Amino acid sequence: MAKQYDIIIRLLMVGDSGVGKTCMLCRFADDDISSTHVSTIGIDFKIKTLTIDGKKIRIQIWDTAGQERYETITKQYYRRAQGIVLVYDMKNEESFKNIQKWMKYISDFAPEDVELILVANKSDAYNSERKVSKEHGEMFAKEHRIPFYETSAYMDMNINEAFIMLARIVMKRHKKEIDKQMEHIRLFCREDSDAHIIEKQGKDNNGCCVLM
Amino acid sequence: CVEGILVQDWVRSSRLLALIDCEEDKALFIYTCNKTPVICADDITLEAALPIKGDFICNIESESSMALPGADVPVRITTNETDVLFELPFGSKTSHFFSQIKQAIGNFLQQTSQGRPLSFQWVERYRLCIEESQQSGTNDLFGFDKFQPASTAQPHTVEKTPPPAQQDPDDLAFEDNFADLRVSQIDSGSEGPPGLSPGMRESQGSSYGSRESFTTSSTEENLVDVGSGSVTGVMKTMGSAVRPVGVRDGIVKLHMSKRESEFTVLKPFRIFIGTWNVNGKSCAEDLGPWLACDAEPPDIYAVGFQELDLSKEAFLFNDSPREEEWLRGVYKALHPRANYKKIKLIRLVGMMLIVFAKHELASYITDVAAETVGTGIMGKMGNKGGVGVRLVFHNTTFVFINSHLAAHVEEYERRNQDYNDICSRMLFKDFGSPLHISQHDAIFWLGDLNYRISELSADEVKGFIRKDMLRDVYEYDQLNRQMRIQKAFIGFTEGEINFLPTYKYDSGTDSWDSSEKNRAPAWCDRILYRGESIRQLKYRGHMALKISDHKPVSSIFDVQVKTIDEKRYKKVYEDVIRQLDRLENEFLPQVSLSKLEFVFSNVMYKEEQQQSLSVTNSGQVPVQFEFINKLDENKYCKPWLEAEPSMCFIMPGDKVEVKFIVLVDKMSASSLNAGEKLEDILILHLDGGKDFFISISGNYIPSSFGASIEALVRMHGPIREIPIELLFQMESDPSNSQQVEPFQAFDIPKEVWMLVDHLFRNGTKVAHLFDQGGLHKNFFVDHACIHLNLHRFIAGSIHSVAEALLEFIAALREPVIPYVYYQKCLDCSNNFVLCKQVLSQIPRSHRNVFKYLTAFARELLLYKEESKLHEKTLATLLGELFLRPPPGKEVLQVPPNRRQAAIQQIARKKASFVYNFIVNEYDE
Repeated sequence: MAKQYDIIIRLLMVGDSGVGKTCMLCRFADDDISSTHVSTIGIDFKIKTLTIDGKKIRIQIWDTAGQERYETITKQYYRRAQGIVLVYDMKNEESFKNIQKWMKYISDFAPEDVELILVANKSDAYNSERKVSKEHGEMFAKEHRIPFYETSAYMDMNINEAFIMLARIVMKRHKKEIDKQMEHIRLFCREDSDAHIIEKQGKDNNGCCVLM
Repeated sequence: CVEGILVQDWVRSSRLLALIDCEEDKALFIYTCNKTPVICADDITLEAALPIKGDFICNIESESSMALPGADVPVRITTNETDVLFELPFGSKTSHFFSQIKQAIGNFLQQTSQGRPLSFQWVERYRLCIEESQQSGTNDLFGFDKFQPASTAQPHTVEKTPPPAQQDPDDLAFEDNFADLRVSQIDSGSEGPPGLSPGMRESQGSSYGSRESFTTSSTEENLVDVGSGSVTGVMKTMGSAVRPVGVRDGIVKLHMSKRESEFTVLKPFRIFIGTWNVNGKSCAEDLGPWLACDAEPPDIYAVGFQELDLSKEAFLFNDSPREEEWLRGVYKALHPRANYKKIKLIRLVGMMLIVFAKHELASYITDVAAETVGTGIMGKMGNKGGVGVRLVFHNTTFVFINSHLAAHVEEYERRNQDYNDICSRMLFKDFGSPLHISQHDAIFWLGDLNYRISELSADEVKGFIRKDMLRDVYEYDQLNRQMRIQKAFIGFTEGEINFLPTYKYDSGTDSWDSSEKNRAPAWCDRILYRGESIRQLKYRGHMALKISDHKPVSSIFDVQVKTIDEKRYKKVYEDVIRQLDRLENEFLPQVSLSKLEFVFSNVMYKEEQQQSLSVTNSGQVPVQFEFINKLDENKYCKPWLEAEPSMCFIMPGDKVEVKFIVLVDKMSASSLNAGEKLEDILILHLDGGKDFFISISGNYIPSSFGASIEALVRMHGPIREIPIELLFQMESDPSNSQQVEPFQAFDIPKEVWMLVDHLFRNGTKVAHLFDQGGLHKNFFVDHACIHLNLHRFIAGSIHSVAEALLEFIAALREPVIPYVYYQKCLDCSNNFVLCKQVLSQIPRSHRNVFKYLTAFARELLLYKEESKLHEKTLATLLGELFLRPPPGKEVLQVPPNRRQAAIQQIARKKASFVYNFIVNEYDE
């Protein structure tokens, strides 16, 4: 008998146009990026299955259009996000400044208990190209008490780490609901051996996350 | 009916909601879906029947009412007993369903207020049914087994297509499903309340915490209820992102098994197989010499008995005290150097099979199941046949079959038949598709197979045995011969027999049967195996045990078991998950659009422009798209825009053209004149997928249509020669504009004067001046003339000029009687003096237009004979033009049944207001 359950967390990505949101998503979900990407005009999403701390979780990541003209529309998608990735391009100072603006939208439109992380993408840049220092990013993140990552979708650096960190703090925030749900699944669905083993491994690794 | 997702915190599982109506009463039925898509009645299980009465509350969750467009709609349903949250797919189907429920609630309140309380007796019957089945669900497995045949054997199935209910064509999809409903009629003699009996079926955890829920069979009476129910709504798949992963787990398993060799390591485990026909004796002997005669303790034991109990009770009721007795006997005699745990025991009459494993290995044993097959009397009874246990040990599948085949020397073909019957009928359920014996990696077949020695007499056999010539006897062994000619046990192997025949001895001794039958000794009791990684170490009889007329047999095997290398397993598992995620993402709905930006230039009043967008389904699944509303907007686009079609279904590879039509009419002209830009962004939503934003922009050429009287009287030249900014300014603040006024304002807008003047000169005697539409082409010519002040050149037919006048008045930004005076005018419409008072209060330019047009009407009425006009007709026409309800008050707040009357009353008031001024001379 098929199991009818699913634990889903919804993450959203915001940030200026061209900072690499879509590339980050492709790298994370499909481990692949295309070099000829066109601007996202709309809202797209991808699904990724992860085992975090022994829990099988499905992550739905929504990628939003970054262009200013669509801001009034994209804002309405914030409402259902449990976690939001704020992305800027370390080669583009403007995109870093605009993080303030995105934070404002989040506080206006996202749920109060939404979890955030700040990501400086394109860390594969040469030093000469870099416009926003790591310290600046770190300072901003510290101010708002959110985790900070420098990533490169192109070189596949820190992408998984960033998303998993966000997923994990979202899970922590919603721990009660998830635990209740896990219990429900354990009681009412026959555990298959796969989950059993993965769960065990999760514990063996001292709660370290297993990326799949 | 709507397919929805039941939300329990973070778990979502699909449910089918159906509004069932029986005469006056309505009830909401909630079904669990055992399969998606739902095709026949077996796929759904009634979970709850909620009568729609006083305590029934159904609301869209306020907390998420601002949820993103296109997302599922959270709906909470509350009654005195339940409180559940559903997510229903976004779209018109859901809102229709929702409104139907609301209507049902209203209906209930109305009925009760009229003193006709609804009984909902029919719903109670369903509810009883559900309760009944949920209670039975707590029965033990045994009760369940017993009940199952009783309920499936008695009912005969009635298939009936319900009479077509009144519904939209859209709903046909669901009607089809309903036509498939098989409703079982059950004899009222069966269990449960009269006429009701739950047909049982195991299904997945239901929402109210009970582990099993059962399909509910209806009576004939209930069938009529379902048939007459007007069921509305349509089946709709949910966004794949929130689809339950049940299917997915199966796929993961399949992929993992395909790549098994990548993450498994073969490790040998020792298996002990034993079989003994105990001839109905009680367990009065130590079984140690049989079960624990080796130095090393085996990892797994599979011990089979036959003729455990020869009593009538055992045969008729399958109930035997011997089971417990022999289990204890075996348990005591297991190898002393290890601790064992009982994995499974299965018994059919006298055949019993027990599987033990070392304690520490028990956690690696999963998916244990047992089955029995009777092949005895009438081919069904349990005096002969087989019992089996299957299990998964690490990653290797095992099955143990203990059988007792037909007796008597000459019946070897019957034995072959019994073997074949067991093979085909022994099916292990609960693992997706039922598993056959042959679908296991390691198969052990033990038991009293009853094959004898042919062609040799008892004395000859005994003679050979005395001379220790077992090989020669074996040549005459029936099983050996049948296997050689492939009549039975194909694919099985049997080790070399170098133990004495195990049958038939005088009980308590080692001496051959001394009864008058003088049966020939035979190897009745055998152990066979099948599987690649099995190595037989020992195959032997045990002479030391004497209570039975058979001797026990045992065999030791080493089986190479696929154990999981956890590191490698993890790696492969991750890989499989990654591939599936990728696949799933690829299978999300996907379209490509020819264009994302559309520019319409020089849009003019009432001049339609079109552009088209091609939507190609570039994905691998059918796609449904829909333009969805933006936050706080009640239509997906601005009033001057239309998308055709606004919702469509596309098969993979197919293409659909969507037309964007821009048309500015009197509804939208005034705000565009006042500076609103011709700009919009549409959200094209793929059902279960992404959203696209499509930008529409353009420039509007202002028109005197849709302008305000205040602005028009101040424009002396054509509107298009006025700088846009000035125009916007005039429109945005019509009352205060001294600075921008170059000259004195006209009394009335020149356009009105021009048109009326033309009609006055040429049309007073024309019949049906306002009733006939002009030619469309002429209408546009007139437009151009009006814009350019070319009144001398008004060229079209007199009728189109008349139409232009009406259109012009109707399009005025604010009607001739300003909105604030609308209600006053209606209120005093039957009193000319009061009417005059109100009129004296309205702004001068408005009053001038009013006076001018009513005077023109009076003029026209002088030629009643020729113009065929009547005071009342004219009054009605002008009343509608002059008096427009303020924006937002267009819809009357009255009950639907009185709406028509209210509309007519208002129309009469409007007409009578104007009528006063048409029939009476009026001057300030």
